[in-house]
Amino acid sequence: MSVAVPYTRSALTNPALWFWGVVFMAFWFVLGAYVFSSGLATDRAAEVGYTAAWFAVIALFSLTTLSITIAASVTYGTSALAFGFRYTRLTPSGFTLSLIAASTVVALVLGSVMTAVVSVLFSAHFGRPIYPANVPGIVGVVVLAGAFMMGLATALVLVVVNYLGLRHMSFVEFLPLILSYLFGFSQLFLALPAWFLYLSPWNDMESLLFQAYSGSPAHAVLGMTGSAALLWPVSAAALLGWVVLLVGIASGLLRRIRSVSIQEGRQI
Amino acid sequence: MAVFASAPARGIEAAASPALAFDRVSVRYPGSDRDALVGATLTVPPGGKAVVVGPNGSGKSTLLRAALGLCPVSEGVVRVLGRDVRTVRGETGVGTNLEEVYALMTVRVDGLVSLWARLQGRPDTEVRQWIDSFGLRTILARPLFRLSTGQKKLVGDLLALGFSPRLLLLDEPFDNVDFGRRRKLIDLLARSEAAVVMNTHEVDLLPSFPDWDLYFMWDGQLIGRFAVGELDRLYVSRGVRPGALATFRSSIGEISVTRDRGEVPMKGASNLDYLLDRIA
Repeated sequence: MSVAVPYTRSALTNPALWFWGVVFMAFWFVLGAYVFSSGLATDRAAEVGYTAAWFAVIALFSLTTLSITIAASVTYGTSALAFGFRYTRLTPSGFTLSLIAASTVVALVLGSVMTAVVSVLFSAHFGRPIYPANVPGIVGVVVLAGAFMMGLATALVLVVVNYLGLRHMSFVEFLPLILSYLFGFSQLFLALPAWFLYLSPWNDMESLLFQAYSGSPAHAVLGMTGSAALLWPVSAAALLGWVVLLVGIASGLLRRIRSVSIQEGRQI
Repeated sequence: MAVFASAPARGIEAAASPALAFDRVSVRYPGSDRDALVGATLTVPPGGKAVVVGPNGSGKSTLLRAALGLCPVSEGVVRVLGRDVRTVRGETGVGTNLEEVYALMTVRVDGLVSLWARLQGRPDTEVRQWIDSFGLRTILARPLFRLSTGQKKLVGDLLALGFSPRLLLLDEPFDNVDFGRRRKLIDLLARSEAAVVMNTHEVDLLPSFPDWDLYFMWDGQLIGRFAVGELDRLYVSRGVRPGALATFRSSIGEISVTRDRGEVPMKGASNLDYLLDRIA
């Protein structure tokens, strides 16, 4: 864990992560609670569903900002890692586990803040407590999300570093966030088939976060009970599968990491 | 959690091997149409010291990066402490001051020293004492990227030296370092029992290392071995001279390095560019 602790400290003191992962997302919660909630039916079930949908979508975006931090860290550290695996006691598997541990802790911090902010804001606005129904459930999803973001960000960056050159690195670093917006909003507005939602890790996270907060199953259109209900064990199993797959790929790519100059990624 | 590899077993064969051996090593960077290092051959025994002198861009850093596994070797074999660099894992006997290897994460210098001690499996006492004796205590609270160029270089130098390496690979260790600290660093290097390969473009510094082997680097060609102590007797001349100690290609044709006679004496030259200008 010797690398996990400084990595966690380094990530948690990153102002960009706090701004984009917390402040910017809290701004969206304010809009959700006080601006977009007009016209909502004043019964508790509607308020809980509405709050849980906001939590699921925005917490997903917040957790995905973590992937940018991880991707940038790996991009800037290729020489250090290539050297470290040869000439220090650091191993690729040890580094992978440390990065998972660090990502998980940071994800828990982000998830906790998101849960607290949404609970306070939406409860205050609706005038009654709208708290998460299943806090251990949220913790479980957030832990899986942290590991997923680590695996995804590291795998994407290392494919580029090892095989493609850095010309498109900025796009690759932001790709998880772009995909999270794409898939995250899709489930709010589109009736996508259940198999697609199960296969998509972003929709798995979103559905699980919704269910954990509301205590009710997520639906194909997230808060619309008329659409197909999603089975949380299937979403959880699919997300776990993605985590195992991506972490395995990332770990394999770390063993072949190529030292690159960050200047190679200069766009202009 | 198995974060760290166990220390590799070191047999009698490894102990007797050169600390660093290059066997006709060429390096070509992706996208380049020429080799950055051309068939370099070099052997440094355990405890041996070598200084490589050459102008900026001649390939000195590439030589070290090849030894560290940080650049693509297109031909030849590099062996570090008896092992092919391509297969080295978990070898904690190598120190370097290359800044890029310390960029694992954003931490303060204090944290970097602690982290590196853990990664090397050795105490950080000596490095911290040296940081004090070099008058650098105030930099401990600052991240590496906030330091001056000279301070960054010194941190790399001390981290390279500080964990009892058996092989030290130093890239321009005196760059932007003030005179007083240069003297301290030279003393540390003189006391080190490690094998050392040190790059520099500052010929003026060579008299501080009279017992070291001397190599020149020109346009990717490693030229040598000579001795720093015989620098005053070396000459460079245009063309291939009979009895030349070494020859290399340059923009003005073949150049010979000879002893005791020749066109231009190396004595007093501040760098190789100056010598070639004089011949031309």
